[in-house]
Amino acid sequence: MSDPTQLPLHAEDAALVQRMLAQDRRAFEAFFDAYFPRLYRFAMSRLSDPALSEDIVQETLTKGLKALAQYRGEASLHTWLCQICRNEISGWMRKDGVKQARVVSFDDHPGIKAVLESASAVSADYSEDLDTERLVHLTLDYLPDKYGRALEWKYIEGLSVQEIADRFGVTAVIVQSLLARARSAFRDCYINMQQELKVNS
Amino acid sequence: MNSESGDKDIAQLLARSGPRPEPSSAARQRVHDQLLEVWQQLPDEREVATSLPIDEIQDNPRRITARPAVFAMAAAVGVATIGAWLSWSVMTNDPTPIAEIAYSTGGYAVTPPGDGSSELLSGSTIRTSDQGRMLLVLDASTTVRLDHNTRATLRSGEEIYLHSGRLYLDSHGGKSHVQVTTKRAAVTKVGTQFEVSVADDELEIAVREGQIKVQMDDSQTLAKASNGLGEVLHYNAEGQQSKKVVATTDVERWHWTQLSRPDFDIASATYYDYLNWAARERGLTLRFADEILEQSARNQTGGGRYDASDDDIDEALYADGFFARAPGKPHELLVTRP
Repeated sequence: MSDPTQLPLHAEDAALVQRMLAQDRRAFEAFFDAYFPRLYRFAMSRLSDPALSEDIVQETLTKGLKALAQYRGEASLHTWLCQICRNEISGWMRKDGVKQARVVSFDDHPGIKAVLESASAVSADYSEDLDTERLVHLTLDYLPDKYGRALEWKYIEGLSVQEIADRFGVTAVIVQSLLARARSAFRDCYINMQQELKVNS
Repeated sequence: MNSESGDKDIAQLLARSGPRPEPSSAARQRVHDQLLEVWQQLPDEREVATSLPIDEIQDNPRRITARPAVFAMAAAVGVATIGAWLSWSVMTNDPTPIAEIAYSTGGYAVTPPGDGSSELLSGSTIRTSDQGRMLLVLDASTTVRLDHNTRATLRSGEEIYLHSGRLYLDSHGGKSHVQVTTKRAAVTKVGTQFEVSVADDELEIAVREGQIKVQMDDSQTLAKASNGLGEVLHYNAEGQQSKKVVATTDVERWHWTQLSRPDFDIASATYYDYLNWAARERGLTLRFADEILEQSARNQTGGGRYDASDDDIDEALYADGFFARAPGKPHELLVTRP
């Protein structure tokens, strides 16, 4: 275990990485299930090419795996992987002669990136100029994986709390608490992104 | 979106946006298989644990004795596969409380240190001192007891990793699938009480109730308890397995578990609750002379705090004069009318 006097900010991510480095197969599967879909969407939002996105994400995760021992938990694992993915995309563009300015996602904006990576709480007015669907999906992807899944299961698939608990393999009480935290985190993150986009539009 | 509204705003927003697009299953499978290969080729940085100083207990030859050795196991740890479930909290960024310290004696340490409450978060590692014991509650039907000099990590609400020492898991009537993993094996319960001990190069698993499955490398072994006898699996340093049986009521074997929990407070429970608890503590099977008597025990509450000793059981039963203990089989707690 890490030195308790110098705990990483993202201790859960660090713990998952340690388990993967210890050849824990379930940790690998949990890692893949949590990050492959989100990175794929991250790449697709920039490239709009499924085959290319698959290649980019595979390369991203390969490099991420090989660099796992260097992950310290100062940034979230998702943020860390997204940065690798950005680098991969940039590298592909340079190689293919594509101008980078052509593909810019609003979550590359420094203000938005900061919001997504810290999910701090500031209230803001709702703006109807935003690409709502993309913003919602982006917010869900940047939340902890189980937050995003719980919110989708509840509000899109219409599952009950008990059904969600069964899927996660935990009690309904834990899911109720989880949903409360997920809603709060989603709301904060979404509002902040809207605010940033309004300020910078 | 109003930051102070209920969930209606989020519900509408998500319903309007629809689900996030998912990569195709073919793409998923391709990337997964290729990444698995990469991961499997990573250098194995598995923890090499030094053994805690487990004292040799000269008067109990059934206990595992310590050797001044360092873990050098190269055997792969298998993973039990009951269904396809994911480790709950490990894959998240949210420190969810997954257990509560219900009882402790002697000293212990928790890493990372918590907020001083009795709640334990996923990823917490607990280490008991050489005088320490504790009882953790995972859910309404599952508890875990840790003996002296035991180090265990709560990886999730359904997985406990035992680094060294001894733990006892008691789970009854619930739907949880708690698993105990060690460097060498994964032990999954099927409604049961069992003990796992890790010391140096040896592993011992004893079943007191129900059935367990032990997954080690490519092999799987079932062990169970029935008719008052529980199977004990012992693995030596070379991975060779031996099996024996121990009475579920064997005091010498199981007494430490009774030192790792508080007395039972009947004031907040029924007679049935107490008797069921006492029976489980003693490795006994609870039986009533008839269904009416059992229903009576389920409906009546008592008073006071009792242990699970014979004297306390008798005292609790006779307290209100409705119940008595009758001679039964050695592994039974048979309740009848006075």
